[in-house]
Amino acid sequence: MPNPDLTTYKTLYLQTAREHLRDLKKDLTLLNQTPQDQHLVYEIFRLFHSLKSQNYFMGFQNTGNFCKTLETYFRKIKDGFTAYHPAVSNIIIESIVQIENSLNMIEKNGLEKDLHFEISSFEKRLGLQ
Amino acid sequence: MKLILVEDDVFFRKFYVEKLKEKGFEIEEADDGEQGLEKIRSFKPDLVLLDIIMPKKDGFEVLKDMQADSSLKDIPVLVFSTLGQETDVAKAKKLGATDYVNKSLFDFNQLLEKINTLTKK
Repeated sequence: MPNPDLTTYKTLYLQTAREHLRDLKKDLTLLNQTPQDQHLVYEIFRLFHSLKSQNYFMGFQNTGNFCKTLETYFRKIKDGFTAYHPAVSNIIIESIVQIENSLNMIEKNGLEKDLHFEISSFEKRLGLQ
Repeated sequence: MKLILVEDDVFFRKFYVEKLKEKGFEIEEADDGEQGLEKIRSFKPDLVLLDIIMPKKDGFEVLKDMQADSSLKDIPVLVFSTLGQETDVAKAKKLGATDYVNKSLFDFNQLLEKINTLTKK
């Protein structure tokens, strides 16, 4: 449930979350050209981490949990447990679209998208299960 | 009371700076660890609110640099963490952080209590 005490911050939340998604797309394009670039991996990890934190803060638990899945995936790459491969970029782009859709719903009617199924599905596709 | 908030996310920075100013704190802000360290040196705050995951220099590096500087090592540091960062918090404490708050929980009173406790001389 969205936090009612924070409605005045909704515009700032939507604006900054969309900026993070725009930066994610830009960084992902660059990472596909240089998949070993650890600086880009860290930046993508950091952006998903920020999106997760913002969503939890605003009370959008589902969207926060979905962002956490992507944060966990890039944390594993950052910490050297797996390597990034550009073949995965379609899944990452799809995840960004899911977050965009949830933000659009939040903007329109104040309620986030139900992402329970997507969280499980993306965890499987990213090898996190 | 002088505070500095080192936090890369403009959303959290704006929110917490506004709320803490309303409570009468003098507050500086920095959007990455490198700038944060510079401002900690020049502003000499009574307490540092420190995010961990940041560009240029992360919170761990800021803590290491503070511990290595005799003029900064005694300034209390409250880590601004979020859900799922338990390991990061433990590491930050080993590196000299005093305590932590979960910035995603919107428990402003808890933050004020911790600030007051940590700045009591």
